[in-house]
Amino acid sequence: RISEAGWVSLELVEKCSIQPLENALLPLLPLQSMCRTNRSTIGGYFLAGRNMVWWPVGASLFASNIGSGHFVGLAGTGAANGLAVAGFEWNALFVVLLLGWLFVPVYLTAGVITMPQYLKKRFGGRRIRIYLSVLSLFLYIFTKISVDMFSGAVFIQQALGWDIYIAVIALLIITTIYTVTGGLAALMYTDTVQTFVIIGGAFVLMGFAFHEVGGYQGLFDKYLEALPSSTLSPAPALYNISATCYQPRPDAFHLLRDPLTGDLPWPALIFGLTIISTWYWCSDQVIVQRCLAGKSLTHVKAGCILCGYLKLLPMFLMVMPGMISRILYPDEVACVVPEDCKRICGTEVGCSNIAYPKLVVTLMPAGLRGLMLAVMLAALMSSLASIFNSSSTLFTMDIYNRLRPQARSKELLIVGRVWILCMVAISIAWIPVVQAAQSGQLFDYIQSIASYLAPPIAAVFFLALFFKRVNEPGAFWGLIGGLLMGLARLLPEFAYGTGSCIFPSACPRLICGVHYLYFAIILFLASVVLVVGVSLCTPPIPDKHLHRLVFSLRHSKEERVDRAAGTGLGARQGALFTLFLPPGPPAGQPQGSVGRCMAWLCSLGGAPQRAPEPGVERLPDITEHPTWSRVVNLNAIAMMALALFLWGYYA
Amino acid sequence: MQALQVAALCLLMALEPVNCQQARGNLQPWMQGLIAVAVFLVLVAIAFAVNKYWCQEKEENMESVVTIGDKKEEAVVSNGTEGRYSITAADFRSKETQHAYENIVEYEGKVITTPM
Repeated sequence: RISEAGWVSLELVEKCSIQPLENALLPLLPLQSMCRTNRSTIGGYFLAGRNMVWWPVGASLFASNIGSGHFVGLAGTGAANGLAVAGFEWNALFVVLLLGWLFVPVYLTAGVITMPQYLKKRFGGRRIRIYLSVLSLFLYIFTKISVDMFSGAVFIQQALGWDIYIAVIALLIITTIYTVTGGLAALMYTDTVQTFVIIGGAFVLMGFAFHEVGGYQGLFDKYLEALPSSTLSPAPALYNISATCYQPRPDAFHLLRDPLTGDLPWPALIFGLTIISTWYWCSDQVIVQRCLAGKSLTHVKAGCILCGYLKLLPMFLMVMPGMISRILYPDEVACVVPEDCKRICGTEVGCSNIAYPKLVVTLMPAGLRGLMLAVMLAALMSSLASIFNSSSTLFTMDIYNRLRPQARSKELLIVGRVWILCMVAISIAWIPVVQAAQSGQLFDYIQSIASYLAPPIAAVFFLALFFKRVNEPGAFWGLIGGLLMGLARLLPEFAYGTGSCIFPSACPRLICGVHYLYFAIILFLASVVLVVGVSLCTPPIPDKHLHRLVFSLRHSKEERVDRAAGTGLGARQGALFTLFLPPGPPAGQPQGSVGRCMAWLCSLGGAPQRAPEPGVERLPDITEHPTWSRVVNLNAIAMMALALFLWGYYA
Repeated sequence: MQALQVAALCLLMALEPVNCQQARGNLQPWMQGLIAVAVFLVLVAIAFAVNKYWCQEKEENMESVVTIGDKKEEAVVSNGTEGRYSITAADFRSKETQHAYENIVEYEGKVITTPM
């Protein structure tokens, strides 16, 4: 059977002129259907048998982070504003170490697989989990699905010249075929492979780009002169275009920018971003799960270091090529006249998002171009498919099933699929916002949404791990209060629109004037105060419930009295596990041929659901060999030193 | 004195105006990088020293070791040192068989182990 990835790429390659090289490399893609090993148990599926050595851990950490949104977003913002956007990546590499050294030891000794499960063990109660489910659905729709669809569509638009909505619909149709025929089965390995094919392609493209622009020095010499040719307003009566809207920023080559007037002020980039990164890297299921699959704590730490080194790359692989793209194609990438922009990329606020796709389409040699586009779209579709899957399970299991506990499995199935349709509809409706938000800069858009919604979560996880005194009411009201504060900023901002350089937003300065990363700091601190305040007013959780659940008690050997119902794998938690399993009928196989046919069609051809096995309850120890622990620590210091050198170099 | 002032004036004239306008432009980028790394390493050294001389007191040479699960393989623990025993003690079981032990230099500390 031809794998869907292969099928997709074949079709695309056909469009992008087939070369022998592609035919040689294409067999890489059907790996998709081969890596189906060891998924028959929860532990096997989730944690790869807890047997991964350091380099797959690090590689898959990196791979699950980097997506096509990075290529479009980082390069686009790089083209528009210069180097500073790489700070997003270079900040994360310190947070990855935080994950390996502080967070993962606790998750390991707590013996949890999912993050909601951790919160349940730590705090007890159910409402926090429901809250988290709802919020993650929000974040899925606004920061993952619509962004992925948009960036994939930009690639298709640039490659084939289609309208962006036709491209989205084509993408969705192919994704549907992809999922229905069972392409969803194996993600972790193939995603990694695909990512590294993409990274390899990105290296080649970087070489071509630097060659074209006259080397590294050429980039720095020519960037500040990359101006579009038409800068005059076609309708001077309506609006004027000020020079700051099309000239590259004078601080384009600096990472650290003015705290008041900069587009990414340095305190925000260092402190505010750390909060967002803490949420993304230390409390997000996708990332933490990669770490929990590690063989031992030392391997996890080494994997985090590897990921940190890899995170140094995006500056050179994405941001700088984006800037080069502006030099090479100033009229398209740096367009400023709204009518021109509308013609070039379909939106009026600016076309910097096309920087990277434009480079791929025009600079790559014909063979590599097809391969690169094909792999990128295949990776994108597989990630879209897995998001669809996990969010539909999240919705049916955690929300719908609670509203209607008597719902039967067939009903849940249908609701799940309808929910996917709803999400797709919302996401498509949201694409114009994505296109225009933050002056058309995708990466700023993602980060700003995260800044409004994620800081309370980061605060709760941080306090849950490091302060024993924090209890359930504190965490819950902290989350609710934080959400309300975040929405108080999010809603006006999107109601008024973020505006562009030529037409600034009408949003009052008091609400929207604060930089979104500053807002993240404020929101984080407010949530911390709220959580601690409410916790201090309510009775503490006794130590017997907390052994090995908080950082200070991670070495404790005492018996823990679990507050989760049962011994940890009750029916409810069984349902929780299915969130991240490949989809199967939620409860048992439907009977009858029609039912089975429905199940085959609707359940996306997944394997039947397995009962959770009790074996995962074996608690891993977090002892480390002193020598290796020292080696890992020294390596971490070396990595931080290298990163700091680069921070200083581009400061 | 007059000559010095003229020399200073000439120097200021000779410098390009940009040199004075840009606050951060006076350092070479690699120099900035090296300074950042140097500051970081000094901080790490201070942290290490503080940890070594002030916080290591109660732990001495011992590594806190927790084994959860395998109760039957629990090593010999002297009284009063529950949960913190010398890491060497955990390692002197021979790799060849469970019931053989290797001669490893005993941990020498203030803990007195009485043979029973």
